[in-house]
Amino acid sequence: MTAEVDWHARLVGTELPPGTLRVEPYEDRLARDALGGDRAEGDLLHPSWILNGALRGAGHDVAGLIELFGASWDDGVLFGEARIEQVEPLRASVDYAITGTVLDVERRNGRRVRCFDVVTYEMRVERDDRVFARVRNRIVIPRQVAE
Amino acid sequence: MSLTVGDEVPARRVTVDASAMKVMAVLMRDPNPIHWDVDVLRALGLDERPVNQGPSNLAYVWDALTAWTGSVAAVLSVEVRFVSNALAGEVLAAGAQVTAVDDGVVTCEMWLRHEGGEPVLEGMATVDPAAFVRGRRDQ
Repeated sequence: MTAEVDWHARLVGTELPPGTLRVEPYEDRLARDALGGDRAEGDLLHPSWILNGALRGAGHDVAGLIELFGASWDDGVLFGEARIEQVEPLRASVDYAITGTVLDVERRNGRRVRCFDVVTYEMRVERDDRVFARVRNRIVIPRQVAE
Repeated sequence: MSLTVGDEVPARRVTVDASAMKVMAVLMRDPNPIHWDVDVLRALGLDERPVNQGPSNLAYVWDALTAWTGSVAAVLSVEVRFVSNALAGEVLAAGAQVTAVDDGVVTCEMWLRHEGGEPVLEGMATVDPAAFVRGRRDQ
C-alpha cells in the first residue's frame, strides 16, 4: 500500500507531454456533419474541438495518456467527468499549444468495481501565453487487488 | 436578452450514427475499437452496436445551447458527468433549463437522455446572456 501511496504522490503535479493543435476548416466541417451540428460562425470551431482537440493535440495519444497512469484500454478505463471552460472560442487554421498537469489521484472502493483510482488532470489550450480553454477530466481506472 | 429561472433550451433529438463515429475517431485520433469495430465488441462480450464517443455525446447538448444562444461564444463553461453509453441507432434527447441568473451569468442544468429518459450525461453549463445573438438561428 505504501508503494501505491508513493506512486500516487509522485503522479500528482506531473506535467503531461506538451503538444500542438491545428484544426483545418474541412475537419471542422466534417465534425459538424458527423455531429449533426449547425454551420460554422465564420472561422470559429465547433466547441467540441476543445475536448477533442485537447486529446488530439496532446503530446501523446489517449492510449499513451492511460499508460502514463499505469493502465490500458483493456483495464476498462472510463471517462467519468469533464469540466470545460471556454475563455474564447477556438478558430480554424490557428496553431495552439496543448499543455497538461495531473491534479489529483484518489484510491476508492466500490460495489461494482472493488478498487479503482480516480485521476484528475487538466489540459489547457493556449496561444501566445493566453489560455483559450481549460479541460479538467476525471477518469476512472479499475485496479486489480490481491484477495 | 431577458432570461428567467425555468426557461427551457429547445430540445434536440439525435440518432446516434455508426458511420459518424468512424469520422470522429479519425478526427480525434481515437484508436479505441469499441467505436467502430463490431468484431472487437463481440469478442469483448458487449452489445454489437458501437459505443458513441463521450465528447460527441457532450457535443449534442452543447449544440442545443449554441442554437439557443445563437453564438458559440456565449457558453462560458460546461461541467458534466458521463453516466451511461449511447449506442449506434439509439435516439437521444439533448436539453437544458435555466436554474439561476446571477451577476450577468446564467446557469443551466443540462442533460442528454435515452428515449426512455435514462441519462447518458448530466451536468451544468454557464452562459453569458450578453453574448446572445438573437435571431441568428432563423437566418
